[in-house]
Amino acid sequence: MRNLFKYLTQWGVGIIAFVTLFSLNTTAKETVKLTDPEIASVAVTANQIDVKYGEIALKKSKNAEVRKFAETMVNDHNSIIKQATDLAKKLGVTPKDNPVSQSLVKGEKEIIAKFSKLSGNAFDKAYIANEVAYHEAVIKTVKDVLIPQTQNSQLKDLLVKASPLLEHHLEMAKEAKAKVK
Amino acid sequence: MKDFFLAIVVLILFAAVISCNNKNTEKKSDTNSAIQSISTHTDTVIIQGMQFQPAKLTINSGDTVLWINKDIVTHNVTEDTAQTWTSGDIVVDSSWRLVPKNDFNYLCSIHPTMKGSVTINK
Repeated sequence: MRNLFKYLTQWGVGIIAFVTLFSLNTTAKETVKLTDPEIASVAVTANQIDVKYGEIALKKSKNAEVRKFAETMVNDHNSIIKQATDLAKKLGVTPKDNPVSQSLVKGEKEIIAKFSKLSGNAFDKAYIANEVAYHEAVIKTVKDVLIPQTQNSQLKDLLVKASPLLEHHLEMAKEAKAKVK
Repeated sequence: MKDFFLAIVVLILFAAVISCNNKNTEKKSDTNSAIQSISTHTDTVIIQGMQFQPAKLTINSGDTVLWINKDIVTHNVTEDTAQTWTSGDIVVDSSWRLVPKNDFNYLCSIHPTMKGSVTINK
């Protein structure tokens, strides 16, 4: 169990480190910047991953606190996905795969593999701990990479609007973590 | 004979008007007990950025409060103290109205850190 928490923390830190490095590199104008289609891909992928985690929690958990949190994650992130895809369609933008979305998907596969080995309270703790780490990483990505690099004003506006929601999810995750002993 | 038919038509129209009025009354009585008849003045609360704006609203007795969801996810307006009533889901770009009888604190039960209050001028 300790190893899992260590892993989750390391994964969260890893994503933050990747994003920071990416930000520094883009600031130095030495590496590829994200285009709007790539940013749309990152936004949709990040939300899809949290929907997936929530759906797994709703299948595996019997804890009311965890289930309520997971249900909110599924509904809220699905709502953002719909708005992001509707906007992309309206703007004629096709989301394009890129290193950031690939990194997110890689992390998702590893986390889901870990979740599959857990049940009961061990799963609840792991799910909520991951939600804290994941939201911290995504908030940093949105603020430091996605918003500054987005060219289209409507796409940027959607990302700006999503920020308070993500911050709120992080607070909810931290509160749930304190209750799931 | 013409007068007879005219009288029948008038009676049918009168019955139709009465029927419509009854339906409207039934619809109003179905709504939450906290809702009274629609008042003339409306105070608006915008739901945006995971906040009720303004969070603290003071109104005159009989005013209607209108909550408009301009956020990117579904919210609700739920009485905070004992959760005795709720608006139900207020989806994106929709609204919900209430004519409060008393002061109350409320929250969004989906996102419980979102809180607000309505105070009626005495």
